[in-house]
Amino acid sequence: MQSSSLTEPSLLATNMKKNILLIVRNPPFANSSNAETLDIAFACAAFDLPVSLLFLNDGILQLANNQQSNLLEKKDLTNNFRALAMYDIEDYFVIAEDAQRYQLTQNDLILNCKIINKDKMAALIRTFDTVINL
Amino acid sequence: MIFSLLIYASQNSGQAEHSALRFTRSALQQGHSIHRVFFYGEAVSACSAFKVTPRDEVNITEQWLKLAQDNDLDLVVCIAAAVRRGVLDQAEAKRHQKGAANLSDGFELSGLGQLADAIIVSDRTITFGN
Amino acid sequence: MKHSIFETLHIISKGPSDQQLYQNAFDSMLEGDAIVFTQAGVYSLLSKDFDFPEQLIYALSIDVDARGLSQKVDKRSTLISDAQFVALCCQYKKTISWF
Repeated sequence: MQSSSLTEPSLLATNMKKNILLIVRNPPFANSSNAETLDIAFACAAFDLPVSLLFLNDGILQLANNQQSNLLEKKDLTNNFRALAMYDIEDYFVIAEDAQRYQLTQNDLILNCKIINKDKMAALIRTFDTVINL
Repeated sequence: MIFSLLIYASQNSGQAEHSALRFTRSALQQGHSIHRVFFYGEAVSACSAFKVTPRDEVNITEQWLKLAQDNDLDLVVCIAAAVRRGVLDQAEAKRHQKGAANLSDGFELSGLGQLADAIIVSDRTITFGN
Repeated sequence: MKHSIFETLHIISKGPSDQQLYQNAFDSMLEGDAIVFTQAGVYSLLSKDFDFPEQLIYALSIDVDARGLSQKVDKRSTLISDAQFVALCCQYKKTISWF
C-alpha cells in the first residue's frame, strides 16, 4: 500500500472492494470540471483505488487529438490525460453515438478507449461502487 | 451508516451547498456518521472568512461551522482548488507571499487524498453540485 | 420486481430544460434504480407530458414547497423529507448526482 494512513485492516479490506467511475461530460475549455475530475483520478490511484473513466456526451471532445491549447494560453490537459496510464488507469470508455455525432474515430482520440453503444452504458455504470459525475 | 459529502458548487449561484448542509443535519439526527465534508471546485469560496453576507441573507459558512462544532465534523477544503481561487490559510499565504490569510477557522486545507480516503472509509459518498 | 431491489439512486438537481443532462441520466438507468429530483430538478414535476422513465420517482418536498409547486406536482412522484432522502441514500447501493 502506498498510503501509510491506511493501516487498519478493515479499511484495507474496504479499499480492495471499491471501484470508481469518473464521468467526464464537458468539452475542453468549458470550466474546471474536466481538470478537477482528472485530479480525483490521480488521487484515487495513489490510494490504490481502481479508477475507470467514462467520457460521456461532450466529454469525448476532451480526447480529440491535435488540440493546441497554447493558442488560448491554457494549460494542455491532453498531456495530463495521457499521464493516466502511468498511474495504471487504463480503463476508458466512450459512447459510440457520441463518437458518431462528432465524426470521431479511435484514431482521432488521444487515449485508447473502449467504444460502447449507448444502450450498454447503464450496465457499465452498474458495475461500479462509486460514481463521481462533476 | 458512514457518509461523506463532496460539495462541488458555487454558493452564489445555486442551492447545492444548502442542500448538503440539510442532508448533513438530517443524517446526523438519524444517528449516521459523517466522516468528512470535502469542498472542491468553486465550493471552496464558501470557506473564505473575507465574505460579507448582507444582513437579510443567511451566512451558510457560519452554519457549517456551528454544525461542525456541535458534531465534531471534518470540514476539508481542497488545497489546490482553494489556492487557485484565492482561499489561503496562514501557511499558504506565507508560502505564496500574500498579504493575508482568509480561510475560516474550522476549515482545513488539504489534498485530494482526503477525498480518496473518504471514498474508502464511507459507505456512501454523495456529491452535491449545481 | 423493481420495488424489491435497490441499485442506484440518481439525484437530479438541474431543471428539465437541460435536455442533454436528462438524456444522459435516463440512459444511465436500469431496473432497480430510482430518481430523486432536488433543487431545480423538481421543475420536472410540472411538465404534464414529461416522458418519465420506468423508475420510481421521488422529489425533495422542501425544494418543491420552496418553489411554490406543492399543488401542481405530477402524481407519479412521491414527495420526501430530508430524513427520507437520507434513508433512500442508505437503501440504494450508490448514488449518482446529475447537475
